[in-house]
Amino acid sequence: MHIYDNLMIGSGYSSLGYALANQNSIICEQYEACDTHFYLPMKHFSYSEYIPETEYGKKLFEMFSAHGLFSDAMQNVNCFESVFCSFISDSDAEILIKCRVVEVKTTQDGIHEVTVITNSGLESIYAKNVIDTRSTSAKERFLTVLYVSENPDEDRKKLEKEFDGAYIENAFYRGRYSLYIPCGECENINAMRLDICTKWKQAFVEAKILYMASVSGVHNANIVKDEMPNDDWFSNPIEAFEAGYFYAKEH
Amino acid sequence: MELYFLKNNIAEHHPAENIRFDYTCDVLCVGAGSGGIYAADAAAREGADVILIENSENIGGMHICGNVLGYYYGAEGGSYTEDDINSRNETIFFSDTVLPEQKQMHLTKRLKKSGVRLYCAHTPVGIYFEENRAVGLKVFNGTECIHIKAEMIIDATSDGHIIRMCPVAKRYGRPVDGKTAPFTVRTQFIIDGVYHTNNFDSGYVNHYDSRDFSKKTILAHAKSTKFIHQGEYISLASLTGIREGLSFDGEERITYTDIILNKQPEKVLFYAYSDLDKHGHDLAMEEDMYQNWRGISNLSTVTARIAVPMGSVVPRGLCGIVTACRCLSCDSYSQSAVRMNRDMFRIGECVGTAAAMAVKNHVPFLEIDYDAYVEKVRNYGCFDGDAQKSFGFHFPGNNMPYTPVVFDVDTNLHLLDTETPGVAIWSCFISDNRPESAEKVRKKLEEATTDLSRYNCGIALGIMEDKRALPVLREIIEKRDCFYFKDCRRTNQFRTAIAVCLMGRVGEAADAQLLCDIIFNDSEYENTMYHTLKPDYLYYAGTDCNFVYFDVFTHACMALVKIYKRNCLNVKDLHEKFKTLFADEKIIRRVTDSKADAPTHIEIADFQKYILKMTEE
Repeated sequence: MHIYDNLMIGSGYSSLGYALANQNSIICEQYEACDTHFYLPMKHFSYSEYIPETEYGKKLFEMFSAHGLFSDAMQNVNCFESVFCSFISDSDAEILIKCRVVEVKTTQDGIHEVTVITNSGLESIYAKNVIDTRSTSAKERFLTVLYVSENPDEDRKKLEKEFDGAYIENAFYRGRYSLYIPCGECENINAMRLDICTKWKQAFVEAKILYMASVSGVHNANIVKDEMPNDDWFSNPIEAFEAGYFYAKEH
Repeated sequence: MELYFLKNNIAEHHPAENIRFDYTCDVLCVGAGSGGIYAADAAAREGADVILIENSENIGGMHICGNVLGYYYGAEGGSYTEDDINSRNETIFFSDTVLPEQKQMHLTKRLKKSGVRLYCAHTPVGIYFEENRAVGLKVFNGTECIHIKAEMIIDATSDGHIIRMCPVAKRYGRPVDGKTAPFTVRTQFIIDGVYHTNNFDSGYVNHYDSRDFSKKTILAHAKSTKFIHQGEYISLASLTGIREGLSFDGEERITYTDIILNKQPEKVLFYAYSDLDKHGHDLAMEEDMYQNWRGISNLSTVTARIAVPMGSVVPRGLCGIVTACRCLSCDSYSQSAVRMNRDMFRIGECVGTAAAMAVKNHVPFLEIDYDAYVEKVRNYGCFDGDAQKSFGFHFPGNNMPYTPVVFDVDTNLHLLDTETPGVAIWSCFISDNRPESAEKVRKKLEEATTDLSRYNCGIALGIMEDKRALPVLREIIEKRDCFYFKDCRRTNQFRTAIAVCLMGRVGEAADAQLLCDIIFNDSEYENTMYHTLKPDYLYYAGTDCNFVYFDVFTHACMALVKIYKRNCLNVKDLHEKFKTLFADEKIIRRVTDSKADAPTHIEIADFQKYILKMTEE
């Protein structure tokens, strides 16, 4: 019976950084994708620059840069997952996707028995530490819509009027924009998407929807001191990665 | 009551006592994908109280979240056509083709209107049985486990995740080595303002092994970086494109032989419509019947109207559970046919209708009023959308018209004089009177004045395992004839590969040398046939591998082993020869330069292992 030092719930940059700082770690990710904080919810296309310090961080940054994912303070979030997976494949990280944590029990000697459900059915994984890196801020969740506009100012006015609390940013490619619609504690993504489409039509917006994120995301979450870093705190994936890495080294 | 569940891929069960069910319904449908949505909707339409649960947060399954929206094979007819029309009429989306979001919107509306109770992010972890009757599910909702009671459970999970837990025999993969079809990853992007999707076969995976599934999916996603610079990259599909999964022992079974011999069951659930869409390249390892159809007769784009029996969705000996997806009681080859997008919508609608009828009338699924069932599903349009079709050349990806085909020797014999002899060859194979057909072909061979006719006749005799084919087969192989049949609009088989394959069935001991020359002679690889393809040659295999060599080589290896075994030659000696040949990567490098984890590399390496195993016994 193998006992991991750490079992991370949620794959993301900080989670991977933590795992690579301590090789005897396993990451459990419920989706069939690895970047669930930036790519899946299509988080901000703008970011603040960050210079990596670690070898892993530099390698990750080089891979992202080699694919042109950073340019003029803009990042091509839609491509993140592919390149992130490239990085993961080259590393020794152990990640289980389509893996949901069902139950965590602590045995008498302090080891955690984590029951997960995967394509193999129920599995038990044993770890000394269980670290949950999933998004914590339910109230500030946004659903992102990527759209194409030839009259951005006019479309912006209509969309901001129709979707209360929403805001818009330029996306990576010219003529593309991202609309962030607050979804509060909405649990039904499908209903929300239908609602967005209905309102889009009602507003007579000329812009065309290109893509809608499959999950909601968290933007601008506050950093919580001394806690395991969460990708939601960062606008730069490399920074998120190294935050997880340094946290692992310090704790 | 017992709870059945999977633990580390092994089905287990234990008594379940004092279970308080949190929800109750008539029909519990698992999986809000292509089949599940329409199954739930149809059951609700019939008056059933329906719960639909879905593992992910998004409905739509492979055709939405897996983005196979454009790969629209299968038959016409059924409720989905309304959603298609509505999706196409949307104007708020970018693209002349339908984006997944457009379709998903209409499916959400459909479910809302139908009154189906939908619960997303709900994962089944166990199934309750009272003796042989399924009575409910244990489901994890993200926070805790809940219990749902149902009169009928529909497993619409594509890969049979509920069936896997059940006490019924299951299998997957082709008979010879258990390998399933390769999986795929879909990408969306824009080039010059035009929306595109792309599909790339990403290799083989055992998706029931969580570690293999995770590793291979991540690797496939990593490889999709090659598309980043094609244009404006939008996304990678959020579901991995698994093509083939489990089948189980059902009350009836669909077999490939039944499909191509057009056998009709007593009670038909619905008619599917497809070609045999298997994606592997190692044709030499497939069963003879499949090789006859796809390779020797070159009929890979001939579609068939497939009668799916009612009993093929019912696990043997169990009640209260049926399937509405590609997890059916079938063989590996028929699974490659009964899985197309539109047919999955229709199987859902048909099974949902039948399930509701069973519940409402308090009868087992197979004892519903069949005539009433057929009347209903015919009215809904989902029973037999392409009733006027049987067999025909059809490739929806291009604009060529549907061309019906009748397999009759007398009607088609003249095709042996043409570049499209496949229909004639197959007609000979399935002829009711093979000796008579063989005689007709032999006579034609005698009278033939061109190599084209002679060679085609030789192949027709060979598929009937008539040894009079041998002189012609030998000639084709010695000549390294690089002619390819022109029947198909997608893949076309080299005649030398066909002759080599048939040599394995009818060849004599002395013919072993012909095959040894192909396999063991280093100069064989220099033959121009392997390096100079004609511009219009379509070998649906990608341009970065030498699949002509792979095809001929693998067929030659298999044929040689068959001749050795049939003629009681020294198989041990042959094994040593193969062992020496495969000791390094020489053969692999002749086919591909790819790395060890690349699909083609794995395919050849696996083939070598298989040959060594076959000659070791």
